[in-house]
Amino acid sequence: MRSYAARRLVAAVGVTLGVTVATFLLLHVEPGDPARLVLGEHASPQAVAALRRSWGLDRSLPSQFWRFLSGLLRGHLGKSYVYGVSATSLIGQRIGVTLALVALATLFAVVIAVPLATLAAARKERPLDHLVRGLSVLGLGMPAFWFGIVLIEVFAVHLKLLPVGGWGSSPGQHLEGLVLPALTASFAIVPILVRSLRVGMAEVLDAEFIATVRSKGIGEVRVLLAHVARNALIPTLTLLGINVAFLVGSTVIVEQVFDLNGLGSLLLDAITNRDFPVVQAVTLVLAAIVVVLNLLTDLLAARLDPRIRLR
Amino acid sequence: MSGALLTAPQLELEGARMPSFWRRARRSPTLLAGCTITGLIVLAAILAPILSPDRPDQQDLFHILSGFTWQHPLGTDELGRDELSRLLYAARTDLKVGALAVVFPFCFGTLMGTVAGYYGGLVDSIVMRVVDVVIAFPFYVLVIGLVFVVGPGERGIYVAFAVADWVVYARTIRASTLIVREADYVAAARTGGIGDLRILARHVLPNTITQAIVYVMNDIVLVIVAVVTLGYLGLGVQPPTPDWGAMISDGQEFLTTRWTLSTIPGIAVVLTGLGLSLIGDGLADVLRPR
Amino acid sequence: MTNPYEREMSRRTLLRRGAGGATAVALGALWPGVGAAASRRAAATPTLGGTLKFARSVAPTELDPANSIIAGDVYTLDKIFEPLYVTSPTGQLTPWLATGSTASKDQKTFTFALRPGVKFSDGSPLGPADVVFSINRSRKNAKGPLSFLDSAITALEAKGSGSVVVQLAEPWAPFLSDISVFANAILPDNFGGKSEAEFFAKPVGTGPFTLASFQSDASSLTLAKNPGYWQSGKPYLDAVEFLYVDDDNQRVLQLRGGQVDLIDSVPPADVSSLKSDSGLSVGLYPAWEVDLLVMNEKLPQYADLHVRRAITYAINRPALVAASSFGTAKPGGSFFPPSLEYYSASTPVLAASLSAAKAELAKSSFPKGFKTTLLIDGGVQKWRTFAQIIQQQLAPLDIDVTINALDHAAFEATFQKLDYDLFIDYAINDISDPDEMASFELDFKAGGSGSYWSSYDNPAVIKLVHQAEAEPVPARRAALYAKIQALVAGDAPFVPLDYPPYIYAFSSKVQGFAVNPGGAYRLEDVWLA
Repeated sequence: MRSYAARRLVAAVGVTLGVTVATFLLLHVEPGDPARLVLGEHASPQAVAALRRSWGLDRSLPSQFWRFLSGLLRGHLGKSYVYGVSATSLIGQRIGVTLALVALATLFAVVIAVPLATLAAARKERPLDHLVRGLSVLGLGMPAFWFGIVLIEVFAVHLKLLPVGGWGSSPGQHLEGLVLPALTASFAIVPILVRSLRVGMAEVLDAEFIATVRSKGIGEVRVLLAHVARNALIPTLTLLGINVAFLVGSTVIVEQVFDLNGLGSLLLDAITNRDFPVVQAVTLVLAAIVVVLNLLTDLLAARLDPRIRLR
Repeated sequence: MSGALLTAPQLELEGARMPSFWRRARRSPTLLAGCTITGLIVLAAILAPILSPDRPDQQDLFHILSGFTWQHPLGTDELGRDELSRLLYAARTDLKVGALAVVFPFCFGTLMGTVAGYYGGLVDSIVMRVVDVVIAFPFYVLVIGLVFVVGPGERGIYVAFAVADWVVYARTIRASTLIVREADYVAAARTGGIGDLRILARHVLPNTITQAIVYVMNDIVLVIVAVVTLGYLGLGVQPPTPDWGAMISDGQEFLTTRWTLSTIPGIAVVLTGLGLSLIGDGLADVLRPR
Repeated sequence: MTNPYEREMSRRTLLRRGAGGATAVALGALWPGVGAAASRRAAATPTLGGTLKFARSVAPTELDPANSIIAGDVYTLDKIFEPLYVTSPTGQLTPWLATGSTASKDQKTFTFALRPGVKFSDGSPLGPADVVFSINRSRKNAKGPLSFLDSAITALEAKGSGSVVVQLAEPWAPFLSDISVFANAILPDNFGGKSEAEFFAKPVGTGPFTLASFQSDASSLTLAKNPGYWQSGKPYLDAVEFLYVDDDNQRVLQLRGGQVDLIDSVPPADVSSLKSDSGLSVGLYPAWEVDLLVMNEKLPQYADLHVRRAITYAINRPALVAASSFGTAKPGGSFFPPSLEYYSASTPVLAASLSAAKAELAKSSFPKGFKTTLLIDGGVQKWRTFAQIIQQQLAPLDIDVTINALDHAAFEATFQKLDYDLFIDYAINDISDPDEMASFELDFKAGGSGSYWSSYDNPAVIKLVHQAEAEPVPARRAALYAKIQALVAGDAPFVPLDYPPYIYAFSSKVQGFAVNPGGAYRLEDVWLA
């Protein structure tokens, strides 16, 4: 188990580094001059050049990358071109929002997917199964921003049950402000979870040992919950890990629609403004979150199923 | 992602079962429903020139944002263009872009997955590390970044998906290939001295590719939704080419006055997604060994 | 998607030269609150207290007047720091921290009398040393985006305990307008003894508000009332909370939902439904802003005068405005907006006429039309609408337009490299003097932008611009600008498409809010009913 975890950890670090390099290259290929954007169109060429020099943009690419990397190793993620403060402090202020959003969305996804999948698995091939599958598949084709707008119109504007957007100032308001965005984000992964859970559960329901368990007289509900869930859990856990990556990425859109000041909207703004240090830092953090979550789910799955470790 | 991996003995049986594919296909309500819905949408898109009351770019600046009339069954948009016509022509744009954008990821991903799974070793490690990196990259960030570099419009979309989307195919195919590689008949073929290429083409690929085909359906949905989202961000297909995403985003400022402008294209996207996903689900059912 | 109004502040000239100029500024049209002017809202007496929640499409990133250029910074720091003169909501230059100024006969020396009794928010009194320090700091800032505005100043010095004397290199008409710009706002001498960083962490100014709290990611910033403000009794509000809400829809929805009291950059499409809501009001404020379609005269087809005139005739501006602005904007005509001083309503505009357009094209070197591209900032809804309308309107001339919508940064980089055929963008004047717009858009060599990147170079027009800069007599100046506008209309280097207003919306309990044509709003007159 230890060596498996160690191997996965090394791989995780490598992946994060890979993302960093890729981001760096991508940024420097994009058209648009961050110094010009900050100073305005009518800044003198000298002022623009001076600003670029102070940001190190006049040096060669490898030298710039080395500068970033060595800063990274010392724990500095760079200073925002636009806000003038360290990227770390910007991230620190906003990461809570994104993590809360991802956590709540995952919770919603699981809470919605598990009962639906169980229902479908228990009534396999019958009308209810098809209905559940059809409904859950709806979430795949639904653009998050469109769905978000619809939810806002219905629940916030007409029914006035929830706020239109924003984060609010008290924990109660934070939660209120997260409900619709988390729901919107979760809808993208519910179908995939339902599909996988349903298949996993259906297959286990057919297996012999369930028949054995049933013959021992435990109630059907307990059979479903205790044994089926545990065996279907592993592939779903892995799937959840992969999909959290997608979820984290989708916060970029969801935060924009709901006016949440999380990492996603920070990143979108930074890309638009060519705020290189912030783009670099946030992409790194988001990738790290994804990698860590993947690692945790993989380790958890490995713990539950020894066969996986031998790969 | 159907979740079930084929074991080697099951694969051998699979070959013998192929003729009954169509029978099972006909009996799968999911597949039938999916084909019907998708078929209708594709038909509408093909017949767009006939079904449209007007040309999609025909502006009428003095009759903007009109309601449902005989002349304009779904109303007009903010430039007085007929919504129904734009909806149908947008179907053409988005379906075409969706279908084309998955071609490279499908081919390249399958190739990479096959190579990684079959040869293993260093090749496998390198390919899978690259896959890991791409997957860890927040999807929309990668796509947006690439579109910025290449420039907005269709070309940017194709490039962005070529880079970002091949990884799932690679992973899925690799997993299947790993299993198929252990099959007796494959081992026999190798010891028998048959060239790798022939083995891959005749024995490995036919068994592994079904997973990819199932996934393609869902991938087209993903691509269409992403194209629509890019349109929302102003980075999609260039105006005035109609595209559901741009229609939804253009209609956003009229949410309180003419909410149909954003809602109807959104429903079109959802229905298309539904149809394609049902096909994907149905195929997964039909192709799974029983 | 964001609205273009509030994003960037300046379209400025790099160099200003001029001879002659205004002497004392007319103190007419006094602004409510300074002296005894009648206010339109004088009927109700203001209630004290309350916090104004203001959701804006712009975010402040720093509060240093000498370094700031973006709208989010400028429209925040101007509540904390004040200049010697300000521009009223009707566009008049009004004495503020100065009570007036006198100029020497050669127009090269100005003496400003400081308003007595003004204190900084830390209690220290305003004195000439503060003025000298602040303006010197701004003009000597090499990285300052607006430091060139002060380029005609050669020296400042304190005179006695209540005056400041400014020396100019030569007589300069727009001088007082430049003094009113936010970059020349007054800070305490030497930051009151603190270091620069310390000072801007807790800025001290003469303005009606002080900084109470500031989230460094700019999502919210709170200002608190300055109890020692020199206009006694003001500000009426206890605090102002600025929220950064980038998404247009969100802002409108938050106002509707009662989460905020006031919003900026209201999309024109929402205006009528907001107006019909009895709990809300909409403010449409004339702006010194013109949306332009610019033609690249480095290309043969646009170097051809007849092509440019044909395009101008072909674009139906009233239709464009009717379709896109929902009754809020006015169709373009002269390249000066109507709210700008010396705008001439009798400018002979080339009004929409397809037959005239075809006739012009027939006279050109491209009678059969041509293919061309139109570059726009794709993230702005309005430009996409304009571009599609223009594309349709040029089609009858066989001018085949392809739209190239880029993201903001790429858009700016592209047109600044002159890598375009046609592009659309907006031009603004930040101060009351029209010389800014005239020089920037017409003075090819010295204006700072190559005639708004069009490469339009008409020596006769440029000569008139320089003359107008130097002309002290208003009537003669008006005549010169009228001539300039007529020549520009005839030469059609760009097509002024429309004059958009600043659109704000607020809850009915918000009183006393007004925006000047430069886009700035003072908040000491605002109260919550």
